[in-house]
Amino acid sequence: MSRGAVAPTLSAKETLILELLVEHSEMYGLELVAASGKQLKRGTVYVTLGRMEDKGYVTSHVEATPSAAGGLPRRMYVATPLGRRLLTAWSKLARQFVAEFAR
Amino acid sequence: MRPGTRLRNWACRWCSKTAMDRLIDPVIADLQHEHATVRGSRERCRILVNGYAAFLRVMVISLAVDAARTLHARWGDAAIRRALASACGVMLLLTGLLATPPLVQSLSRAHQSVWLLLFLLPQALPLSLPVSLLVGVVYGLHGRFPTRTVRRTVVLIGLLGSLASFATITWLVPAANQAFRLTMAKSVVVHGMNEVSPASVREQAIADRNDGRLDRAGVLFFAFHVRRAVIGAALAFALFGLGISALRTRPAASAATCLVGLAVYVGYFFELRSVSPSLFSDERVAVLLAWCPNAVMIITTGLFLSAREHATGRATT
Repeated sequence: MSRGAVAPTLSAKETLILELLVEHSEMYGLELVAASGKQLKRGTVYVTLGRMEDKGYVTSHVEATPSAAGGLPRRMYVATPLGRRLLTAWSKLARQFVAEFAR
Repeated sequence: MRPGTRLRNWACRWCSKTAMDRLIDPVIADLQHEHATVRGSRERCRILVNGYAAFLRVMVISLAVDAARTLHARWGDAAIRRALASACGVMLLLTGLLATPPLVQSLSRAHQSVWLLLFLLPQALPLSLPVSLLVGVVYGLHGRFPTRTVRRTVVLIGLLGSLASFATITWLVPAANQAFRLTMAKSVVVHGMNEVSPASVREQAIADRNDGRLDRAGVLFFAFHVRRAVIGAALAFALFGLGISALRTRPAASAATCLVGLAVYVGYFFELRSVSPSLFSDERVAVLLAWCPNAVMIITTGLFLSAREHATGRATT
C-alpha cells in the first residue's frame, strides 16, 4: 500500500450494522436496535449510521409509502456495494487473524 | 398531536438541516411509529420514556457536533472573540480573588506560597468559570440578535465549560485539596469529604443511608448533587448570559440583571443550609433542590429569548 493511502476500517458497531443490513437488505434504525440484541442503542444508532453514510458504507432514503400508523416517514438504510465488499474483506481478515492466533 | 411533534419543532430551532434529516427526524419517526403500533397505556408510556431519552441523547450529540463546526467557522467573529477574551479575563481575576483569602491565612503556617497557591486554585475554578462565562457572553454578545448560529456557539462554549468543570471537580479538586492538607500538616492526613471523588461521596451516602444514619447520608447526597449541579452551572450561566444579552437593555441594566441572578443563585444555596439534612437522604429531593437554580436559569433564558423574538416580530410587521 502506498504511504498516503488510508485503509478503510470497521468498528464493532459498524460491522454489526453492515451484517444486519446485508442479511435483511433494508432496515430502519429501531429495527436495527431490536435485531442487534441490545448491542446497539437507539440513542446512538443514528449517529453511527450517519457516520457510515459519510464514509459511503450505507445509503439511506425516506420510506416511500408512509406507515399505516402515520406520522413522519421512517428513514430506511441499505448497505452499499462498498460496504458489502468491506464487510466481506473485514470478516475474512478477522477469520485469518483468529486462525493465526489460535495456533 | 403525535408524540414528539413539539420536540421536533423545538429541535428545528437549534439543529442544522443535515442533523434534522439524519438524526432528529429518524428518532421522532421511530417513536411515532412504535407508539402508534403498541396497545396498553403502560407499554406506550415505556415507549415514550425510551423515545424521549433517545431524543435527548441524539440532541446533545448533534448540538455538540454542530457547535464545534460553528465555533471553528465563527472564530473570525469579533463578538465571539470578545466574549471568550473577557470570560478568560474575569476567570483569572475571580479565581485569584477566591484563592487569595485562604492563601493569606495559610501563609502564616507554611511558607511554600507558590505550591499553596497552585493547590488552592482548582477549588476556585468551578465557581469562577460559570460567572466568567456569564459576564463574557453578556459583554461579548450584548444587544446582538440570538440567531441559531449564535445560540449554537454559546451552547458549545457552555458545554466546554461544563466539561472543564467536570474534570476539575472529579479529579483536580480532590487531589489538590489533599496535597494542600499534606503541605500544611507535614504528615499523612486521612482523606476528608472534599478530598475524595464525587462518586466516592455518593457511595458513602448510600452506605450511611442503609445503616440508618440519615443526617449524614443527607449531607453527603446533597454535597454530591451540588457538585453535579455546579458542573451544569457553566452551561446554565452561559445560556443565562445569552438571554440577558438578547434583551437589548442598557449595559447598566444588563449588569444589574447579572448581579441579581448571581445573588439569587448564591443566596438559594445559603438558605438551603438551614434545611434539615435528613430531608436530603431521599436522593430525589437532593437532585431536585440542587438542580433547581440551573433549571430556573434555563427557563428564564427561554423567556428572555422568546420576549426578544416577539419584540423583533412586532417590529418587522
